[in-house]
Amino acid sequence: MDERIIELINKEIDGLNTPSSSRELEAYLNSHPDAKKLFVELQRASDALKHVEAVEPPSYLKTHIMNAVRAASQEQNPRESRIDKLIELLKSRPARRYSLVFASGLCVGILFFVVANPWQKEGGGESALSGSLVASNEVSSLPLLDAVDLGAEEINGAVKSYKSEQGIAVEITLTSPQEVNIELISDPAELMFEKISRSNGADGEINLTDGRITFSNVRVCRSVVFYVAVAHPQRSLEARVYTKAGIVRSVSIRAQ
Amino acid sequence: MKEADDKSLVQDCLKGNLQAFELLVERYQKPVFNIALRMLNNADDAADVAQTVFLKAYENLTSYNEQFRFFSWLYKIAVNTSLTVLEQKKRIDLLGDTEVAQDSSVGEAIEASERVEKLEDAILDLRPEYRVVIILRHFHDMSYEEMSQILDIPEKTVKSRLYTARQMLKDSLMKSGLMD
Repeated sequence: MDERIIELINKEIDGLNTPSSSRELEAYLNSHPDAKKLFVELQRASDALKHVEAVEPPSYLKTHIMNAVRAASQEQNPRESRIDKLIELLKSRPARRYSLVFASGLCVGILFFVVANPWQKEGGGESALSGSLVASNEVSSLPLLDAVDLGAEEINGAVKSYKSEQGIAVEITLTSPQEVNIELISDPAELMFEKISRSNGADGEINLTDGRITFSNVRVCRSVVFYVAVAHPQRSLEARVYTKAGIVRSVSIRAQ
Repeated sequence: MKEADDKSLVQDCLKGNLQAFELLVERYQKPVFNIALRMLNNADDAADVAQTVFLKAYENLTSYNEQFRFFSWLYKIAVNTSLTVLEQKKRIDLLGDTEVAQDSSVGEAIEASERVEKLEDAILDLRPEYRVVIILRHFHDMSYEEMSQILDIPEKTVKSRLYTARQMLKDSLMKSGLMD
């Protein structure tokens, strides 16, 4: 049967046809008795389904769901309880407090020399940062997978994904007159964070948690995030831009 | 307005407000349960699936795209989870044998119950990809566009499957004697 007639029949059964479409269908059916017979039977079958009513879920269902959700919430935030315990410990043991302050100062000092490196030469296309932040290869030579506009209001930006040797690389560029936060969310079951490169002139802080990279307090961002594919990426990544008012842009970008 | 409510509840959830998520559960547990029930034809399995669906939704709330309606996203999880369970199980027998007193005064009730059982059987006879379009259209009043989003198929395919599913349903009802 013609696709147009199938659509008209579906819509007639669902009560979605305009009057002119109904007349069009009626005219067709009147000149095609077999189609008319079929339509009547389909209508009857659909009407029969109205006798099947929705079933109330078991009374315990909501309780079970919320118990599972609360348990998951506890698992996601164990750090809060650990921090609470640490604070309690410091309050009760002043000596430990002083040791912690000294150790923190030592770490900050070491970090200063690693990050800032006052003897580093000027120039270079990317900043060398501690830990997992390393200079990256150019993405311009990588095959482009996807490109999405990240702009909103007075914010200009874009996010692009590229196929890299080990997985994908995601480039985020953004300029904003006010400080914003940018989140890049991936599925850690598919993509494992490898490294980030950031150009000189980019500002803000970078935080990494499981599957989420956050660029905080940013006015200028030009970063490339490299992921290793631990499974064939099926899910798109999400990129979001937040101002103080809330989320202003949320986009999906393909990982394959 | 409900759509705006859903989105603001999601935002509250993301800030750690579990009561907001509980409101979403109250709102959607019945349709989610019924999607699973019509797919699996077993109340216990449907309850398990419903729990899994909401847990998945909670754990993946950060990936919810606000460009789509929340219930479309939730129903998508429900359909996919149900299909996964279906693949793992064989077809389950009818939803508990309804014990009805054999009393002539409830003859009409028995007849109605049998008619519903035959209808449910006819739905279960459909292959999953056809069953789900009947369930979403007839029991959840989803539009073709919403079904396209939930099932991740073009709208054209939704219409084609719906037409075929209705034909299959009609044939099944005729075979069972529910339609002549």
